[in-house]
Amino acid sequence: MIMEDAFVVELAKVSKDYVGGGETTRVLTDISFQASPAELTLLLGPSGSGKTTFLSLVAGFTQPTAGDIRLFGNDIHRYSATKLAALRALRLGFVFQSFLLIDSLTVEENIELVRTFARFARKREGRGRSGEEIARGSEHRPQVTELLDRFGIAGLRRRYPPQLSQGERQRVAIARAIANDAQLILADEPTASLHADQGLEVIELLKHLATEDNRSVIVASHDTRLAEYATRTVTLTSGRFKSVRE
Amino acid sequence: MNSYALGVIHKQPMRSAMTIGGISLSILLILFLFSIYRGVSRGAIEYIAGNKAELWVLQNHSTNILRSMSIMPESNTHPVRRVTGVRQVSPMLFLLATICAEHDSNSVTVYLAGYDLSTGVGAPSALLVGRLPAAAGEVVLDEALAKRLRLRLGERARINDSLFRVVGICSGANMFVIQYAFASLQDVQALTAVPGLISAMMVQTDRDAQINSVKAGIHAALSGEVAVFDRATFLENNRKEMSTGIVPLLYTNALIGTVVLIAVLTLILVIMILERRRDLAVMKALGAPPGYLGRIVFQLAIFIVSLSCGVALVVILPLMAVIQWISPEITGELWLTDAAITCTVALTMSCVSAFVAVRRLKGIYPMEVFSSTER
Repeated sequence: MIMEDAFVVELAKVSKDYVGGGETTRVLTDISFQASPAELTLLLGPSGSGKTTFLSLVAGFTQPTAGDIRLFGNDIHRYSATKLAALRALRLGFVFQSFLLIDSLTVEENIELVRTFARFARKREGRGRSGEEIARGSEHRPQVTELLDRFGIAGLRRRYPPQLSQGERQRVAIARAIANDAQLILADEPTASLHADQGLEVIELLKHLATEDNRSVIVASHDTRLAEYATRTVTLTSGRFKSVRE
Repeated sequence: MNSYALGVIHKQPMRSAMTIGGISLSILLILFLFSIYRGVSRGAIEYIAGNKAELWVLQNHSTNILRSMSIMPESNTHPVRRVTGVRQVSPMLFLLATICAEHDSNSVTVYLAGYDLSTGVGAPSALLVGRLPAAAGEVVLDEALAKRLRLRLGERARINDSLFRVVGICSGANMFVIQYAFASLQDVQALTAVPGLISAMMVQTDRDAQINSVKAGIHAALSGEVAVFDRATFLENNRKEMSTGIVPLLYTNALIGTVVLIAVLTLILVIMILERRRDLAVMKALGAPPGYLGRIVFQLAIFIVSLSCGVALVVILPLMAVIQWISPEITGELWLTDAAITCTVALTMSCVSAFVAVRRLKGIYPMEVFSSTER
């Protein structure tokens, strides 16, 4: 059963090593971090500072070498790959630098895909939950049409990603990120592939998702201009937190 | 069907068409061999099955007329005629001869059957046009043989060194590699250097005769020097003889077709997984449930093979007609059960291919979605 907690994400003294070619490389060292709902946390740092590893750990893609990671109050270290996939399907959203939409699916199908995964996960979790709990879990899940309208992409629903502009693709990616009503959104360099004005539009959208929808958004970027939109900015250098600005 | 799996097919029409075409060819090969097998099976024994004889008498140790030698003197017919229960004895001489049209030097080998015109036993059972031989120098040709030699009714054929007029065309006398022609026993005996030889006797019995006692009587009359078979046993002997020649060939080709199918499909699926690695990693990252990606691969495999089966089934009948037009001796027969077995095996093999390919999915990690950026 998923426990609820005030923090959406909690990292306590987390370190991560990568082993390759007989060498061990420490990428993150003693990271402690918390993120709450309605916050946009900007993770700033140059290339190689460990931003992506941080996001991978929070998403459950990889396990920490040391320390604990809790998502929604639960220690995900003990989660199986299946349970982690279900957690991502139900409560996490992703926005990637190169959008990573699926080119052979239409805009609508790309968004629907996440809802499908959430349905599978709900069905799986539903085995141990009451009907009331299941209903509560799905009542806020937005319809695809609603999402398309909200992000101004309703006219693109039957188009394929290669037929869209960069800005349109990122809007679709953001719509996809909340198609499962995710409470935690992880964005990896979401503005890096966009023009300055498009980038601005995207970070404003992400901020809106945090503050208006009460979600926690973590944005990893090397773009310091995004700091003015963040609730909190954390600077990562050589795998360590150097500064935190609230 | 999963929209992603459909998209894979739809987005690469040329590759999909080539894949389906390649697999269809494998299935087509197997269906074609099955149909040839059925056609040959029927053709090889149709003549015997359509014959009026209740008993076949051959030289001792001969079991069939397809691939065994049987020679005996025609005088053997006399003691057999005296056996109780024997109504009529019709001698036959089977001879491998060369045949060509009168003014064409291209000859083929023919299985020439000389029969007793007075009893009519041993004549072709299905005459298509013309009539049966009624006198010396007349011959009836199997339909496929007539087409091969481009011979029509009234034209003359040269058999060994003798000329015969074609008076009839029959069916049911095509053994795939060789066809029958029918002439009078005397004409066929004249083609041999030794007079008075026959290959077999076809015996018709009295209505109330006990077949086993007649068989025993014939044995006794010829001092056990002959083999006597009832109709069912003789049919089975010939069927078995034909099967031992063609079934190993059929199995070998069917096996090759199956291996090609698995290899082509597995390769295509593995390529699909490698090319779509990014999409699959994204799906894992987004929380694809266990088995979801595997199901896509299985659905793709089954869909491709189902379409291929459909294409093969649509193509096989016109293809067989074209082949038969080009080579009249190749007569195929497509049985529904054979088509069902082939398609079921192909679909099972598609699951084998998918099972092999699915293992590649284990090497795709959700973390790859971040590979475009730094660690």
